[in-house]
Amino acid sequence: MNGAQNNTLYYTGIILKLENDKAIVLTDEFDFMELRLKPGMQRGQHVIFDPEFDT
Amino acid sequence: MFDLFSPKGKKDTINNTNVKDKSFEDNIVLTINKIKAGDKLLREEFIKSYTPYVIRTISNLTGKYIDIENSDEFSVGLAAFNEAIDSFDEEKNIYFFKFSTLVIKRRLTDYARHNKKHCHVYPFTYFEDKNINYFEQMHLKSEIDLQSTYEIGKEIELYEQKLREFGISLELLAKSAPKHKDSKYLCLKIAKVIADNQGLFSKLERTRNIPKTELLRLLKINKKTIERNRTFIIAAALIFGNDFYLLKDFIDFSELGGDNIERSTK
Repeated sequence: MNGAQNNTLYYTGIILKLENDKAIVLTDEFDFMELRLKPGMQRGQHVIFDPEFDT
Repeated sequence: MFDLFSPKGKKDTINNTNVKDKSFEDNIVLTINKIKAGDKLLREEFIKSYTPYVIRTISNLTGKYIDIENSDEFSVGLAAFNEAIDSFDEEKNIYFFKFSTLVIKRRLTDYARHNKKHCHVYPFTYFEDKNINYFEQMHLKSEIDLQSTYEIGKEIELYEQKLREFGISLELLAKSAPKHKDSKYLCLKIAKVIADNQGLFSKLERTRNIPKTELLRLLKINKKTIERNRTFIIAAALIFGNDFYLLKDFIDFSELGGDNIERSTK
């Protein structure tokens, strides 16, 4: 994971940008994080992710 | 990663409810399957039984007491709980109540955003219409989701453009944003002070840099805190100080609390 502290094991975020193999996400706790790119992702999409598996 | 309404299969690691008993969960899944198979009476009973859970969830999420007679949030929460029943997929290995909490949170966020922007209330009429067509309802909600994604996507484009004017990229933010919670909240509070002070914010926009001298005169903070976290403070101040309403609505500022940075007495 990107290392941001969080009390829960999942994050809710908005996809800010898609790159070759990653997506940059802003979480509702104001963390900027990188996720592995998955099919179907698009800018502005709300996602819930587990940083242990998805970053 | 999984989108809330089209979850990809993954191991369940969400850990924010107390519902852990396997047989209890099995019973819940069984009930939901019956409801989805068309048992309308069971749906009504199930929703009625778990109305206190819905109220508690809404209250936890909004931080407000929920008056079930007059609360719009209550209607939104109930409709979201109903939607969670229809959207739940046991194959995705997620507990129903964890999933429904996420759906309620998402719908309350949508509601708050929509209500703030257009000053009108979602026409949730689930309890008035017994013959509601759930397929149609789900389809309609998907359209709303697409529209919402498009609108926020446009706002993000403007935000990214604004950041670029300051020489900040989203990639840089992802790498350099503070990871420690206390540091992050301190930076967010500094950003809020800048955004709320017209003089400071104008100077930030004009010089493309944090007005350190003025800020240090106002707040008892370490200069190095500002220098080390320049990009993050600017990125946050730009959200706070500009019209990025959808981004602001999405972010949960509840833990940020009030402005408790010690003010300088100089």
